[in-house]
Amino acid sequence: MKMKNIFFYLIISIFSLGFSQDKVVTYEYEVNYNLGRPLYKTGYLLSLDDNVRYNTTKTIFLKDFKKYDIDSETGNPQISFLGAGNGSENVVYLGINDSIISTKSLGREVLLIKEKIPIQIWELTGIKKLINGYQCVELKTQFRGRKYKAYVDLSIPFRYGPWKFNSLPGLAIKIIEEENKLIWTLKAVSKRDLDVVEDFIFKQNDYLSSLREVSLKEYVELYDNTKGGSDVLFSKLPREYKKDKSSTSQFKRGGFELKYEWEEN
Amino acid sequence: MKNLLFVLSCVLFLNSTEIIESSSNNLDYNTCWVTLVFVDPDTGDERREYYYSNSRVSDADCAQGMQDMLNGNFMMTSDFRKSPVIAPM
Repeated sequence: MKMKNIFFYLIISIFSLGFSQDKVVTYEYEVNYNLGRPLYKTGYLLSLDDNVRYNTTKTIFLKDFKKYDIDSETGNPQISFLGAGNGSENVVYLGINDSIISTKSLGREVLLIKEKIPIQIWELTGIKKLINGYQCVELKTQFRGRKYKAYVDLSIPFRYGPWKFNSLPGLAIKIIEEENKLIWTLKAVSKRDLDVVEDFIFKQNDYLSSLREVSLKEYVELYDNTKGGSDVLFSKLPREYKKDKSSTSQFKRGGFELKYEWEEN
Repeated sequence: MKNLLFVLSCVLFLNSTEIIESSSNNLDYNTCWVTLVFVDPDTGDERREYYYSNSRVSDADCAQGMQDMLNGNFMMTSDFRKSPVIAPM
């Protein structure tokens, strides 16, 4: 009888341990970019120990990535080069010192970029919309050369959004770039086991610490000087190409960030 | 004598015309175009460059140049030059 009781309490304890395990709220976003080669991925946003983390799965191009293809504009053969990394994004808000670290592929290297949290000012447009079952208000902002609209549920207090979006008055349900080139849509809110999240963070920290760290200004300089990293990938091409200075002046930034705070007049 | 000079000059003219036509044809035939595209894996942002070579002697030679580029054998493709304009259709 005693043995039976011990066994019973043991089973109860195991079950209660399992159910009382700490959980971390995770916001899951569908991410769609159309800046040239359309792609999608899933983004995960969570807050733990004063830090907010956003990371995505690897990139999945809507059309298969072919190294050798036919240029649809000219009909000539086309060779494609993919920069370093698999397209997964990592953004970590370090609450203690008001800074962000994020990863970015540049040519043959993935860099770790450190910057001060770029505070965004969101303005209400007066429009209300029901999106995916959430009652949202529309807000707009400009950030580093692009205009965005955010649809936010004010009843859920969470000031961070996917990527570098912050200073929001509620949970971001959808964020859209003005030209529909960048879209983040909340797909699900789930609770994940703390140990699973901690294991992920441990591995992520390990990865981040293996990267070369640069400041945002250093990154922008590298980006501009290598034409978005393409010069690095093409660096073994004919010498004439490397000597070609005319193309440097014609270079236009691509990607998310087109203009930085220190460049604005 | 006058007739002989006339015939000679005609022959020379025809020869030179032939040479010009032939080299012009070769230039057209041998221009080997290729588009290189750099893709940012994070954002899908694309950057395009157009290259050409007038040193390739045949379609097979042109295809070999592209294969060398594809394989990263850039030493074998030093005859390709960057075009300042978009490649012709």
